[in-house]
Formats: sequence, C-alpha cells, structure tokens
Amino acid sequence: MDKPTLDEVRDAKSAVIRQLKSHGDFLGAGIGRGEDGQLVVQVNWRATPAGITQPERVGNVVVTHQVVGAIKPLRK
Amino acid sequence: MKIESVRDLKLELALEVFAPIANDVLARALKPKLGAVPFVSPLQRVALGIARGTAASEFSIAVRLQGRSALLNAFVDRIVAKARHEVDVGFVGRVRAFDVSPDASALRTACRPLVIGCSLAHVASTAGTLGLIARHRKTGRPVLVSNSHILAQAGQAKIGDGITQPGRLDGGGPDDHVAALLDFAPFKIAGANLIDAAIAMVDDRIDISLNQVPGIGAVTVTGEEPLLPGKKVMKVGRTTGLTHGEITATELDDIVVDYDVGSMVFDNQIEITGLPGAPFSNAGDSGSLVVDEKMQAIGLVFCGNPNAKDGAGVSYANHLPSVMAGLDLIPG
Repeated sequence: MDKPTLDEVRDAKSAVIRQLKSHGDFLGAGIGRGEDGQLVVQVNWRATPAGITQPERVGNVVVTHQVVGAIKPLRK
Repeated sequence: MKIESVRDLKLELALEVFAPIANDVLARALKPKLGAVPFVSPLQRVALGIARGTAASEFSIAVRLQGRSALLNAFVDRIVAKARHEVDVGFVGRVRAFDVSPDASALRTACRPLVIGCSLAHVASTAGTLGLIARHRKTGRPVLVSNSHILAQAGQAKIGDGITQPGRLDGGGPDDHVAALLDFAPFKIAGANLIDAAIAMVDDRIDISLNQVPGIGAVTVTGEEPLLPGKKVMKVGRTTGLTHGEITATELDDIVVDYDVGSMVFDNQIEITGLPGAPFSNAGDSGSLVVDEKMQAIGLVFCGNPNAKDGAGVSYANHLPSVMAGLDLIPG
C-alpha cells in the first residue's frame, strides 16, 4: 500500500474526529508515527472506550489508539 | 557611548580590578604559607560587562555586584565618574553555575538573573516554570512567558498583578516580586483553544538571561512548519529539571484538559512522551520551553499525565509560534 501523504493523514484525522468526538472518553486525535515509521492518525482515550468499534484504518491511513488517562494542567 | 568606547573603558577598568588580585594570587602561590587563609579581595565581588545605553545603538558599562562593602562602593563611584554616568549598576548577589544536568532544586530558589526553567507564579498561585523571555512588540519591553494558569490564574487574575520568583510554593514572597502580569490569552469555554499562555513585564531592577536554557545552552525561537512526530526534544522545568522525550503526535485536536475552572478543549497541540519511568514533565513543570536537537524552541508545556504509558507519561505543549502570535511577541 502507498505511503500516505501528510494531507491524506490530515483528512483521515478530521474524519476520525467527526466519528468519535461525541464519545465521552475521547481525548483528541493527532498525527503520529506507526511502527513502520509511516504517518498515522493517533487517537487518545481517557479510558478504554466501551460500546464502539475503534476504527483501524481510513483509506490508506492507519489509525492507532492509546489510553492516556485524565489530562491536567501541570501546576504544582 | 559607542560600543568601541565601552569596550576600551571596560578593559581599562578590568585591568585596574584584576591586576592587583592576580599579583596577590601569584605571590601567594610562589610563597605559600601553611594554614594561611586564602585572601578574597572585595573587588572579586564585582563583574564588568556591556549594557544597553539610553538611546538606540548606545551602550554603557554594566557593573554587577555580588557583595556589599565600602571598598566596592568607592570602586563603583570611580567607574561612574570615569564613564560619565553611563553605567548600569546592579546587585546580583551570589550566583550559582548550572551544570550540564541542572539540579531542579536550584531552579526552585531565587535565580538572578532570571533563567528559563526557574520556578515562578502569580502571587496568589503555587508554582510553575518560566518558559521564555521574549519581547512584547507593542511596548518593546522584555516579558516573561509561561502558562496562563501559572501567571494569570487561568484568566482569573488582573492585569498588573504581581509575579514572584520563585513561586509561593517554593518560598517566594513579597520580596521576590520580579514582574507584573501584562496580558493573557483568555480561555474559550465554547470552541477550541490554541494556547494556555500569559506574559508578565519584568521589573527594571531585575536582570534576565535571554535565550539561555540551563543545561541546554542558547536556543532560537523558530516557526518551523510542519512539525512532525518522531523529533527528539528536551526541556528544563522547575520540578523535573532537564528531561528528554520524543514528539509522539502533532496537530493534536480536541484534547480535553481538566482545569480547576472546568474542562477546556485545545487544538493543534504537540504530544511528547518521556522515557520509561522518567516522564517528560510533572506537576510544576507547566510553562517549560520545549527545545529540539537543533536548539530550536518549539513549544510550551502546559498539561499532561505523568503516569500514562507505563510511567513514560504524556505531556502536551502549545506550539510556540501560536504563543508568540497570540500574545504579540517577538524573540528577545
């Protein structure tokens, strides 16, 4: 499969955000790198999401998922 | 004075200060006395340099005092007379060298001149980190740059409020006032934010160290686009000192951050992952400047979860170009 371009990854990211935004544990999506070094869409979750199928691919762009917990300002 | 005149005068004064000290050290080295207490001249508590003058392209002699004595006062009077009052005199007290791996505890003490990475906060807040010293385009003044939740109580503070270094949690009090809040980016409750940032105008009597990050070196502010994942980065912060990490995501949209005042959504953020067991940042590092391996400053840490990813943690940073544009800043 062809290596996705940056613009293709950006478009895929927008599609993923539209699909997942309403989920309560969704914490955003950005552009990451897969194990093969290619650009991917990276989705962050507060906790492992229940009740949905996590997308694994949009077109030729791989989608990865990670649980990062609650994100807080880093004031002491 | 023109720069050449200042350099000549500085050399003349330096010879006057340091020649007697050098002669004394040499004499003691040639004829050592067992048990003799090393002599410290009061003039060893003075440093000479070049400061900006009152007009553009004009310069003056910078005199920095690390002690107080009648001899020093007399010496300063002589410099003032020789330089015809074109002198910038400041008391800096004892200063400490930051080595390759700066001790974070040193960053939580009073740091003069102010250095990137040191503790600071709004007078009524706790403690965060000084990220950058930039110049405010409209006023032309140097300003301290950190997060709004460090300098401006997440938008609840008033313009003109005091900023202390170190922050209150690190013992900062009224005597440690270094700046006054000048501006901040208000949070949007509806819609996405780009930055959590504020600036404070530095007091005239406070010395600053521009673009020097302890343990890292001189950095430049860049507008590199696009920023892609995989880049190695580092930062110096009030809590964890110098740490290293890797950008694991860019252009991160819709990230939700849980503030005391409520949850806010951010777009176009940078995600940084630390090393296993050594998160890139922790509580108190908010405001830290993110620097890449080319010594380019690229972001400002503002939130994260140090316990995520098996202890490597995740940290999130605002894009520095967004901070510079959002608060009308130019590099210092």
